[in-house]
Order: sequence, then C-alpha cells, then structure tokens
Amino acid sequence: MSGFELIAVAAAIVAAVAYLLRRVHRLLGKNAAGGCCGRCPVARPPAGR
Amino acid sequence: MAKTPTLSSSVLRVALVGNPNTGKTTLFNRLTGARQKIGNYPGVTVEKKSGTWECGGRRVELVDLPGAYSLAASSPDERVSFDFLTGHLAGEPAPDAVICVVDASNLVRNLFLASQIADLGLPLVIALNMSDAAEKAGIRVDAQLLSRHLGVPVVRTVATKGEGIDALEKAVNRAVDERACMAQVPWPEAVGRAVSYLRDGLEKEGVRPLADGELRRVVFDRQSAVLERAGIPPGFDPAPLLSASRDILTAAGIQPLSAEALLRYEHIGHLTAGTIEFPEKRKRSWTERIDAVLTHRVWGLVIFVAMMFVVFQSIYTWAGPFMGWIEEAVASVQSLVAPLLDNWPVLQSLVIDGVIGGVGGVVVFLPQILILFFFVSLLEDTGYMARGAFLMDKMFGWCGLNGKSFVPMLSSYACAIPGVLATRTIEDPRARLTTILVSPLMSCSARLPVYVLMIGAFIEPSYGAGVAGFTLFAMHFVGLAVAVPVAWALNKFVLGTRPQPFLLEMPPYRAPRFRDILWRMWERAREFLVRAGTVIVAMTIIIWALVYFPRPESVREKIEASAVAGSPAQTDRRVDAAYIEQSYLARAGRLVQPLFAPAGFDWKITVGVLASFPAREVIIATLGTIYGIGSDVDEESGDLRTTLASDRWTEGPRAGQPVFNVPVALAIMVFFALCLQCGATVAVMAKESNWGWALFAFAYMTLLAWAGAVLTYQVGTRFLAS
Repeated sequence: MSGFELIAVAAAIVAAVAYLLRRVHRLLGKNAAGGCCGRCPVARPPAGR
Repeated sequence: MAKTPTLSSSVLRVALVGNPNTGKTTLFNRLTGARQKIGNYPGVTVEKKSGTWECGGRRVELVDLPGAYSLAASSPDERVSFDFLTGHLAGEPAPDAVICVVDASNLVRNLFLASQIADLGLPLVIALNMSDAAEKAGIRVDAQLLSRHLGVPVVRTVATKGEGIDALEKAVNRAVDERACMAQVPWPEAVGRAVSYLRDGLEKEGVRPLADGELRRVVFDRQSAVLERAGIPPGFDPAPLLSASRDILTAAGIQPLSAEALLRYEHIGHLTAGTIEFPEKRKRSWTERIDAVLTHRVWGLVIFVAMMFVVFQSIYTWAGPFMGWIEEAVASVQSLVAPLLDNWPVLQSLVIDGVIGGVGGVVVFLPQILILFFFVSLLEDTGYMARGAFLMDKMFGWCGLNGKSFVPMLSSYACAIPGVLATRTIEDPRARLTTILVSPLMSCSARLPVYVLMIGAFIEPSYGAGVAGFTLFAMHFVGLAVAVPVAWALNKFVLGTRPQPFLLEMPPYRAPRFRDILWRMWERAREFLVRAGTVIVAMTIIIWALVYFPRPESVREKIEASAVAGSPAQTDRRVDAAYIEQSYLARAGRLVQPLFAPAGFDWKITVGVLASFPAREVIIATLGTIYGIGSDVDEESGDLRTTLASDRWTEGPRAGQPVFNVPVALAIMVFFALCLQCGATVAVMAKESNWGWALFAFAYMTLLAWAGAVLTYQVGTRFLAS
C-alpha cells in the first residue's frame, strides 16, 4: 500500500468513526434531553424558521 | 395566572387550535408556506409547531397546536395545548390571539373548545373551515350573524383551496387590535362561589395564584393537571378542599362533573340560534354509504386484508424494472470509477466494493420505498386509515389496548419515531407505555429492503412471484401478530392497564391531492437517500476496513504455492476469499456465530445482523461489501441477490451446501421483523418514557427476534424445500 493510499484510507476510516460517534452523541444527548434528531417529518422543524 | 400576552413585542404570537382533523395543519401550511405532515385522520399533530406568517403587514409567529376536543387536557398532546394557551409552557409566553379552526359541518360541537378558550380571556378568531364540504351537505352558516352573537370575527375558510386567507388576515389583525374575546358562559352564582372557595383555600396553602378559568378546570375536570403544575406544597392534600368546593355545586343542584358540558352547550345553543341552516331532508352521504361496506364487521376486515395484500403485491411487482435500472446505474458508476483508481488497489477496493457497492446495494430499494409511501399517503389522505383503526379496535381490545393505539402503530409502519411520538394522544399513561413498547414491532420502511432482498433471491425463484408478493405482505403482519400477545402480556403481568373506552371521529372520505402525495413520497425518498449517504456510507467504510484487513503476504503465497491449477483470475478470487476468511470481521463473526448457528446464520450473516443494530439497512451494505470484495472487479458480476444465492459453506457440517436457502432467508426476515435495530428509535423511546423502558424494549425484542429466527429456521428446514 502506497503512502497516498494509507493516508486516504486512514482519513476515510477516521472520518466515518467520527461521524458515527457524533450521531451517537446526538442520539444520547440531544434527543434524550428533549431535542430533535431531525430524522423524521414529525421532528423536522418547519420551513421558514 | 397566565402570563401577559406580548402585545408590545414586534412579532405577534398566534395559536392555531381546534378539534382533531379540522384542517389546522393544512391551514398552518397554507399560511406559513411550511410543509408539516397532514392526514385525513385524527392525531397527526402531537406537538406544537411554529412558522412565520406575514399577516397583513404584521409579522406573526403562528403556532400549530395538537388537536383537542376540550381543554380538560387528559392526554400529553392536549396538555401541550392547554399549557401553551395559559402561558405555562416553559419559555413560552401566552399567545396574543387564537385562531380556533372549526369544522363548519359540526359547528356546535367544535364551539365547545372555543368557549373554553373564551374563558382564558384571549382574543379569538373563528375559522369556519371546510365550509365547502358543509355547503355541499346542505349546511349553511351565517358567518356575519354568528360573528355578532359570539363577539369575535368569524371567517369562512377552505384551507385546501386557500379560500378565506385574506379575510383571515384582516380578522386576526382586528381581533388583536380590539382584543375581541368570545362571549363567556354566564356561570351560575354557585360556580363563582365554588371557585372563590377553592382560590382562598389554595392561596392559604401557598399554591401560586390561578386564574378563574384555570380554577374552573380544577372544579370541573375529574383529574385536572392544573393543580399539579401550580406547585402543590409538600404535605398539602388538595382533595378535601376540592371535594368541599364541588359540594357547593352539588348543594345548588349542579352535578360538578357534568355541569360544564351542560352549561356550555346551553350557552352555545343560544349563541348559534338562527345562524345555522340544516337541509330539510338529510341525504345519506357518500361517506356513510361507503362506510356501510368498509366498516362492516365481516366485509370491512376482508376488504382491509385484501387491500393490504394488493398494496404489498404491487410494491413487489411494480418495483422490479426500476430496481434493474438502478442496479445497472450502480454497475456503470463502478466500471467508470474503477479504471481511475487502478494504480491504488486498496483505495479502489474501498471506493468500488465498499462505498459504491455497499451504498448502491441499499439505494437499489428506493422504488419500493416510493411505492410504499404512495399507498400509505393515498390511504391516509382518503380517510381510510381511520376506518383501519375502527376495524382494529376489537382485536386491540383483546390485548388491553384500543383503536387509539392503532394510529401510533400505523405511523410506525412508516417509521417508529413518529409512531412513538404519536402515542401522546393516548390519555392513560400505562396504555401509552404499552403502545410505545410494541410500536417498534410494526414493520417500518427500513425493513422493506431486507425483505425484498431475501424474497427476490430465495422465495421468488422457488415459489414464483405470487408467493413472493404474499411473503412480503405476511412479513408486514408478523410484527403486528406478535405485538398483540406482547401487549396482552405487558398489560396483564407488568403494567396492569385497564381497558379504555375508544372514541374516534370518522373523517369524511376525501379525494387525495396528488401534490401532497408526491411531496410525501419525495420527503421519504430524500430521507432514505440521506441515510444511505451518511450513516450507511460511514458504516460501510468501517465494515470494508474490517473485511479488507489484515492482508498478510503469507496468505497469497500459500494459495499461489498450492497445487491447485487455474487461471490468474481464479487464483485472485481464491486469494480474496482466503483474505476475507481471516479478516478481522471474519474472526469477530466466527466468535459470535455459534449464538446464531441454530438460526442457520454463517459468520457473514451474523456480522451483518450485528452491524445492523444502529440501522437495519446496514445488513445490505455489509453483505454488499463482503461479497463485493470477494468478487473480481473486472468480472461480469451479478447483483447481490445472485451472489448470495451462489455462496456456499466452506467448512463445518454444512460444507459445500448453500449458505442461503429458503429457511435461512425466512429466519433473517423474521429476525429483522422483530428486532429493535434502530438507535434513533431507542433514543426517542427513552425520551418519551425513560431509559429503563427503552432498554427493556431493546432486550425483549432482541430475544424475541432470536427466538423467532431459530424457530423459523428449525421448522423451515423440516418442512420447506431448501
């Protein structure tokens, strides 16, 4: 594996893990506190706001 | 006491209230340009939503509140309305004015809520909505005369067509400027005495001062939440005081718990006298004629089941050609991108097998999602879903729930999150909790791709398209069939829920608006694609890394040095297969696989199942990635269904036999039908109940799914052709 490949693959893996951790944090923190996960139309804030 | 309305502020706050299914959200969407979900059945809006409305030169924050028949506030969604109107919702001042949306066909009953709002002293405008339907039924309301009687502006509106919007703007401005409040009920003197007695008693005990309207709620309602929120000092029991104040009414010949309804309807009768004209001879409406068949206790159920069968058969058969096109498009993208990465084989595998292969495998199921939501929107908008709730009431009654639980469970067929939120319409906390705990058993749209993959690869080739469609239909009933005994057991042994009366207003049948249906289909498609482009991509990258690494040279050398002859391409495939077998994912999968062996799962299915706990669709991306790496990029590779069908056990007692067959496919589908594999749903369940119940639901559904999968596989291997 070349240096470029190593960096690209490592960056993709780190970004994916970071993204998933952020999602988990949002689910545990923001949602549990009464916020909105933004996943469904019910929870989505209306347009114009 | 209610907080003072914020008249001085530059932005007005106007609340939109009314009985359920009177078109509040349609009017809200029309006024604000928002696209909140609407539906022709009660209970679609369960929490307040706000939007900005340019109202005749004034900037208005319009707040759409959940539908309520009264301010008695017995369910969580009704409590939101009452708290907002009285200014007791945290951080929310009371509104400057209220638009009460009433169904022009049921004016008297709808004005009950308006007369309760009048008690709060808020400026009010009455929107006589769905006036066109009322006029069609021969009901004419003299809006001008009614306005004079009520003392507030009355505007004729048809929200779906945008009629009456200009008049509504003027009326709201007038109501705010003139502080137009509706004529209040002339309460008998005894009511005033009971309220004064209660006020004095509460103030003596240090309870915060309450407005007359709130004190009347305490006296009239069987179980009022007003006192709870007023802050009862520790050690003070308000029951004797409340009982004494009600005794004042009883002594005056007024029954406290029925007094409000009697007095208000008498008052409304006076106010509406001469303003409503009914047809001389009432014709049997189309809705009644259709309902005679669709809500018939035998034919109604037969038609319901037949209709659902047609829906799922259509989803299965119509989507076929579209799936083919998407598969071709994904393969084209792969063959276009692959040569660009020829110099970087690891990166090429990540992009082609991991990201494009994994995500492409999920996106292929977009047509089914679109067709499913086409039918769901159609059934919701016509008003048929309310009939479904009516038909299900008897079945739900058996397990201690009632038809009111059907609306949340029905919403869960799209996504369990709005389903769990929709339980807020259920008054009884224990019935609500039971509904929350069983709603995720309903087959949400995220399960659809798993079903279609398994049915397309194993059921259809063995039994034909008819049975394939039936299997898809049956899989959507597995969760419902399990939910009924689970709810019964929860109610009987854990929660002790008592049977609740069920009252549901049947909305008239309406022609669906094609634009709304298209919008809902688009919303779901966007959500599905966003999910594929975010969570699924991230999961796919991690799965790819776990399948691809480690890559010791010794594995290749061992294969190449082996005596087996073959072309270089065949050797490459054997090397890839050997790498996968010793990958980190395979090692982890083999460790856990014995747990799932009784269900017929190999390590690849096992890791697919485990990886799908954050989101169900990940199993497709996982299998797509594992089998993508295992195939040659330049090879004419078939779709995922063909690849799965050709995979064979390489070791153990089943060596040489296909990994996937009909019993395994059914076991996978049953596992996915019963398991709570959605992180977002668990979080929302925790928010609506607590983490204890959310984890309980996760545990019981996982156990149920495992047991269901094992049972299906064991029975299937004895009775079905593999």
